[in-house]
Amino acid sequence: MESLKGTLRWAYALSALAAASVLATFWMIFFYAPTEREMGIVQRIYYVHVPSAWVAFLAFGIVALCSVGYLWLRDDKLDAVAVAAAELGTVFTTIVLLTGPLWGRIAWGTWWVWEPRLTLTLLLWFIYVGYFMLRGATETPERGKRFAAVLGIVGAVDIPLIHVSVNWFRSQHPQPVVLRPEGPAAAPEIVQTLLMGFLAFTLLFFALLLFRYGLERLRARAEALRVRDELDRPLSTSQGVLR
Amino acid sequence: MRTARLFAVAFVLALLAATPAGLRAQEPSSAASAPAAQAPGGPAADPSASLGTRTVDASSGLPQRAAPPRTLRDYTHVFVAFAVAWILLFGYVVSLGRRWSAVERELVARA
Repeated sequence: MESLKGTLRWAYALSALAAASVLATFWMIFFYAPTEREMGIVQRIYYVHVPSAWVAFLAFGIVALCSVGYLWLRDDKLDAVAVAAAELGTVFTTIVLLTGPLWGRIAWGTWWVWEPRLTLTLLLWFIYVGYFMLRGATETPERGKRFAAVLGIVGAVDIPLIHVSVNWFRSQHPQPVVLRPEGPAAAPEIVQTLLMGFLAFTLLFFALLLFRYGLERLRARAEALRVRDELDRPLSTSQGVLR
Repeated sequence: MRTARLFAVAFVLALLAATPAGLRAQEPSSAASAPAAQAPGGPAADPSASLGTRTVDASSGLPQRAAPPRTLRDYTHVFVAFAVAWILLFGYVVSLGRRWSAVERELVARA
């Protein structure tokens, strides 16, 4: 089995970069970006909410790609990356689903609205919670990996739907103000702070992804040793009986 | 690891490409944006209003401070949102560390 030294070296390097960029993002959020005139201070939730959503979509995109690769090549490393990305995607979607209502309560006057983007994001969260339940609910781990890979691919179909839902349906959720074809409709300081947030969250995501991938590979090693011990045990027992 | 490097390079290139374009696109959009509705108790409507566009003093051209929030509830929501996000991430890192140590202990025990 391969060494994890390279993975860990990258993970630590990315963690250091992520920590520096998170600190820079915090400084920009509270000391550089202007206070939005209509929504006021509560708009600053945007700098956590939007990068979290971006990272969640990136994570589930990686899950889908690695799941396709796993179904095709049956390489356990691809499954390990998919599991790691799915777990992180679920964490970041949870952040999106918790910070959104805190913003919405002030901006809309309500915690939650059953409108397309919010509902589809909640559905995405449920799909990937189901991804983990499915992995553990099958008779053999291989079957669980296969079923989860299919769900990982199907679940990713929700991502473009979430993105276009504000244009396709009547939606209470704001239209994109930065990531739109005509260019951002926000102040330059806001765009720069948001881009810094994207960078910080992406670095953090890849650092955590590498650690989580390393954990999955270690688990595979432990599982291999467990199987070896299980196979050795009856032999030693029978030898003991023969003696 | 090659995939991770490719992702890193692609992301940096995308950021480099997006930032200047975004800033260039901002210049006409802030000047041409429509007046915003006046918030109750807030400042008078300003032609430069858009998401986060600073109120600009017409005489000096310097940005002014935005209207202060009307209640402390806004601050509470911002604090809770940031706290929830970082506590969740910190908790995840702690859980990752604990799981890692448990697997390492098992590996040492079985080796």
